[in-house]
Amino acid sequence: MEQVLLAFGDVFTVSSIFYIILGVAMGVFVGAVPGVNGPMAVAIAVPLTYYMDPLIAIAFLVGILKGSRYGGSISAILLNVPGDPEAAATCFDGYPMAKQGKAGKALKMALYSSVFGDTFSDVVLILVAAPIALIALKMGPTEITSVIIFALTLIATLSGMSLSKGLIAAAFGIFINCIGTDPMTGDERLTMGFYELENGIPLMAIGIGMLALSEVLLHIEERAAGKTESFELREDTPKEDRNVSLKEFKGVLKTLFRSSLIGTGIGALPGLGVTIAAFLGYGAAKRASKDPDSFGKGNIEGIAAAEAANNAVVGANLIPLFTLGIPGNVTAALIIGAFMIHGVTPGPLMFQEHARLMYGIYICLILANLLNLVIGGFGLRVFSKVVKFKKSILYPIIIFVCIAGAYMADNSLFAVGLMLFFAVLGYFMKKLDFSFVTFIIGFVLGPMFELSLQQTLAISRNNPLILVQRPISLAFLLLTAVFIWRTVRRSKKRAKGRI
Amino acid sequence: MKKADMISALFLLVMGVLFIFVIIPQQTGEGEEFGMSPAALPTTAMLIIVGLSLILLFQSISSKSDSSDGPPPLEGRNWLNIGIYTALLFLSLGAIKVIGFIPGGILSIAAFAVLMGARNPISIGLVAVIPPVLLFFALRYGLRVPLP
Repeated sequence: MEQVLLAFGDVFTVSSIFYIILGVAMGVFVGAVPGVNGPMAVAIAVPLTYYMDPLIAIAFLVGILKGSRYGGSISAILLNVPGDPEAAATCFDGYPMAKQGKAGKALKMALYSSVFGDTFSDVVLILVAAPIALIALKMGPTEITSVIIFALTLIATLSGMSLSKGLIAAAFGIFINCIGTDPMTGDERLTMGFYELENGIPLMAIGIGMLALSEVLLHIEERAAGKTESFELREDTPKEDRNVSLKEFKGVLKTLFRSSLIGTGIGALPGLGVTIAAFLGYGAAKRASKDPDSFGKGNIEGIAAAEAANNAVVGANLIPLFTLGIPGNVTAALIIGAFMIHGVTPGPLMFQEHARLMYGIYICLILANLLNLVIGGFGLRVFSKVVKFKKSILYPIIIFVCIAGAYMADNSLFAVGLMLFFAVLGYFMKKLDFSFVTFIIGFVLGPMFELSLQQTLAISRNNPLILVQRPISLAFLLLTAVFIWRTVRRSKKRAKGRI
Repeated sequence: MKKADMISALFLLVMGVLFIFVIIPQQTGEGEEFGMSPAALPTTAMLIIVGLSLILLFQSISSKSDSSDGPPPLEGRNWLNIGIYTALLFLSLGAIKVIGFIPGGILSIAAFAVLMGARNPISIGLVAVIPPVLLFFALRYGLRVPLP
């Protein structure tokens, strides 16, 4: 209890609240601009957190993420162009509502649903993380090795069309992590004579390059494929078309709970994306509706379903991160980077060693939701203007901010060069359908995997068969085999269907 | 995608073999007698890549092309685009290194803005000057980051 009270004291300081507000506002802003998204903003913002307290750093990043999830719905509703891919499902009913002159109502429903979904998954995280961590603490290096193999295979299976490509990306991520110094002998490894590589490749060079800059390079190529009509918030709109009434909110409450549950379930599993959650939530609401034909024509329930589901992923994504130290997606991988910067290793031990920090993070998560509601509500008019930013103005600034961010990661231009290399690599990976998500997670999990594998071999006197001799380890390896078998069978069926 | 898969599988295969037999042995130490050698994990990762590249190559050779393949993921204009932007990105890095953060930043932002279709000199000027100056003061004096 004392730790909880101390955590409250840590959170309710001027600087903490300032950075959460800044994070949420930045998140809504970047989320609203089509072509710029939350993970991109988190990648660029992580180097800034070098200079912050751990709690403020994580709160700032989580604020960006939460804000950007809601921000994505603004351009989806006003422009019919989702700010984030996961906001695509919001377009289905959001844009028709804007066409009917109900843009304000649609945006407010998106905001309330986002905050509802976010809060729901945060509560689930708070309730389940510590008990799962207690179980995780009983696992030894052998079990951890198998869990990592399982997680990487699961992510590789789910994040692209081809299992081979996903696993190649994961192996390549682990390989790139080997560059630097061998953890056991302290010898240089694969540095090619560059002394700058002795400490390994900074995660931020990879994160900013692959998440932010490569995305900009891809967007630059896209030509405007026909203009769509855009809408603005107007003062002369009738009040009932601007606001969500209590009756309307009560009407979608069931949908909000269902979508939040779907989003939380999807978020807790590594590898399943936010976009899947949004579409599953939308589909479930349509199936359960008494009037499914009205979906896609401006049904407010459609917005509630999609937004609650995609926002519920945020908190749930932190469950595997906090309990096992395994990132479920790229943003969680970047948050691991931010934890490591501050000397905190994510995983079950955090609950023992950094209890005050953990309680602080929980409080920040809930506070960020409330601030999202306030900032999103009051700033609606301002944020609705940013959807019209010109790309020729915005992208050069983002490119320069990427360069500055990569420089801050290592205080060297060498890190910027690495970031540019990974941006080009990310561009080709995305074009050729090699999962960059699996690559980054492979890179992040590399040190943990190598350490647990070394420990496993040490306790078994170099006998790798120990991995199948322990029940929990064997169970995860069997699960891995089942996933591979199912994926191969599915792709064979798909290939047969095409012939 | 079929042709692109074949080329990327071949590229990965050659890269993997090169790493396993030439680069990893040259760039890693012997290690100790007990436990894993420093070369073990990178070699295993590359072996996995080589094995999976062979599977990918086999899959792309044996699969039949049809209309659902769509256009190739990388066409001439994509190569031209990525070539120009990569060159400009590395030139920007060089400019920042040689003439400093603010002048290098101004030049690179202006160059990118023009390349992306901005034509209004006032907006190009404002966009090119304000971010580098603001970032310089925020990082140098706010966060005390030593900048070039």
